[in-house]
Amino acid sequence: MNHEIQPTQTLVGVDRLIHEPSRSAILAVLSAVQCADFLYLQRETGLTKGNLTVHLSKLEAAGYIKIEKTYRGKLPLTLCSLTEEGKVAFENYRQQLRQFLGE
Amino acid sequence: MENNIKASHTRAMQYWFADGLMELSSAAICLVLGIYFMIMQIASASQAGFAVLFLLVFVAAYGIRKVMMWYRERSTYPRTGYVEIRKEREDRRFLVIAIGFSVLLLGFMVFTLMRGIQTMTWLPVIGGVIYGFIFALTGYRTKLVRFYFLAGFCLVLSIFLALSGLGDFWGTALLSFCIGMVLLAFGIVTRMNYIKHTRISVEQNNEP
Repeated sequence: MNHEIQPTQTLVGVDRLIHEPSRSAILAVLSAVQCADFLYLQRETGLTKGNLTVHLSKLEAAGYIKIEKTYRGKLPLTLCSLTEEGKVAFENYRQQLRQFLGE
Repeated sequence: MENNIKASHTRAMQYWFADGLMELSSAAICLVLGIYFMIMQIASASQAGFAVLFLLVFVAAYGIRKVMMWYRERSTYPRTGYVEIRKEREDRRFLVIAIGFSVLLLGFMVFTLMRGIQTMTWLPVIGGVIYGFIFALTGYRTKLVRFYFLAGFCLVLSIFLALSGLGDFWGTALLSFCIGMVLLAFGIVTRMNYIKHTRISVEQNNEP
């Protein structure tokens, strides 16, 4: 019996919270920057306000992102950034995808 | 996905240049520098006087930056949001480039002095190399072609000014004025384009 992990098994084991397209898009944007506000994420991902809110809440609940309410001058900003846990989880997810695609 | 992440990073870099305010504020700084070099040429102030003047240039540059940030908070963030670029990614590489460039410039100045060439005659070229370097680096980091054009323009104009006998502070002042005017034109076009294609979000855009 072959106990070697097959690429298909790798894909089955991916983090389903990240594997959802909208959430992986959010994490991809956040992994490239220090932090971004709600409007920037909305423009980058093309998600509606409601959708983005839901996905951000799920990612925050999983501890993958941090949502911070702050100010730039007098303008209120809701800044989102990846947590350490989120960085590790997203990096693992990318590795699993690469492995599956044979890259 | 890797390409998308790289593209996200590049777009975040470009974001700070999309509204044209960076060009407009840089244009204002270049014009202030032009005035400074002009005063250096025509006024006969003491060294302390020039030092105070130089300090005033810094204060003016700081003030221009503050005004730009103030305006950006009210105009850009409500239109296209806010993003902060990750710092650790390329900072070390650019520090090495900046140090290498400084050593090169210092070497050039020592070389011209040792060969008996009057460095003041080549002052516009030194200015042009500095401006060109800043624009080339900006172009490299943001992948915006207009900055490469600006870098080339600075070099060509500075060499032309030095060769045409407009060395010294006159040439440097003229160089700063010309770069300031080109930046102003770029800034106005970019700004108009930005305003045309974006609008202020009427919703409470930062409340998920």
